[in-house]
Amino acid sequence: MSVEKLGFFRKLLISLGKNLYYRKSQKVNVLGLGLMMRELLRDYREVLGGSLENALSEFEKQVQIQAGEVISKLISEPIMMGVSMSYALSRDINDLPFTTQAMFHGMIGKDYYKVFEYPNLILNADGSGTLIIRMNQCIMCAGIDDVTKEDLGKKDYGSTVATLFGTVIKEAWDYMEMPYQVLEAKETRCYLRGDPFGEITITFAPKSLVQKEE
Amino acid sequence: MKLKEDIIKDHSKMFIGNLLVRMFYPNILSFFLNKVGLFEMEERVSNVGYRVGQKLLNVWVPKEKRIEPLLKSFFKRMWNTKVTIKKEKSKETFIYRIIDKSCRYCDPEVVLEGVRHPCITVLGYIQACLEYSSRKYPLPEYKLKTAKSRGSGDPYCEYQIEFKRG
Repeated sequence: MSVEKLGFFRKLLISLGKNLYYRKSQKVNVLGLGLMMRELLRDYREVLGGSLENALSEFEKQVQIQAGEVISKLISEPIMMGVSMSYALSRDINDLPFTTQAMFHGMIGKDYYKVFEYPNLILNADGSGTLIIRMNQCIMCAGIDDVTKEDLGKKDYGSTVATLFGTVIKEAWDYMEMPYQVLEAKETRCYLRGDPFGEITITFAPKSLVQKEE
Repeated sequence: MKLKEDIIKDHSKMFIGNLLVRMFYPNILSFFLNKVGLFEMEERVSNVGYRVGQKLLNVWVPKEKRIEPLLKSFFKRMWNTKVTIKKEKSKETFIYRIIDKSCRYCDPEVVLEGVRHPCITVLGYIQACLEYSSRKYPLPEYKLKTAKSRGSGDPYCEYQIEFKRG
């Protein structure tokens, strides 16, 4: 159902669809979700007998297991009025910021603009690139006041959200058999580390380039 | 730039798609089940709900203080869902049956072997609500249990609060 490039009419329909999808979707409270993750990590830490860093590693591993399955279903199976999420997909890499923004809207509704800035796509001459997603408020850590950057060690608190975004792009590209590969989805700025905003960076490259380097 | 307190208040009014919960919740249960066994898993997951409920009720102060409207309002705020509450009286007990047909933690397509009630965490949230209510209206002794779960094949999730009468 994806197209080569998103035209005006399809973009209009996606804009209408994302509102409707959000209204119809099952939701949870944003603060409640952030607090839940914090409290679960506390228990993970106790059970693993280690640091928050270990707890985050374990948590991230588990999200990765489930993410691919959940998202691939979401892309290929009808989610609303017989239409699947693949309707919003395009093979043109320049449509990636628009599609990503539509995804944010579908996730968090009209409040998305309070949280996310419009994604920034940087393309390199060799076809590789970076998608930078900046957050003015962090949905995962806004309610947290007892985690320091020392507690985090080398881990990122927002790796769950980074994994989610990276997996959506990976699964969408796999579905469309795109010649690109997601190399990394990582939290690069974090309020808990003292940065003035949150940021997730997704790097990708043409598969041909990756194979050549291997 | 907004103050952290304002952002937290904002977030207590915002809702996000359940995708993240669907992505991590089943594996969390499996993790605890493998590491500490069924009994402790249920206790831990329920305690997580209790602590989250308490913290949410510190930020969002519901007007409702009586149990039934408070629980309905809490479910709406936490999971944007409407629950039905049925009451049953007997000589010794007074039971509230909270029925949720769209529990956010139960996925009928995901069967977790050995887990009786995947949505056990909800009990903790209910306990936090009862504590909140008891600040204004002292409550008699009660027992909480999950009676049904969509995640283990039931048509809906049901949580019961059993108060002792007299």
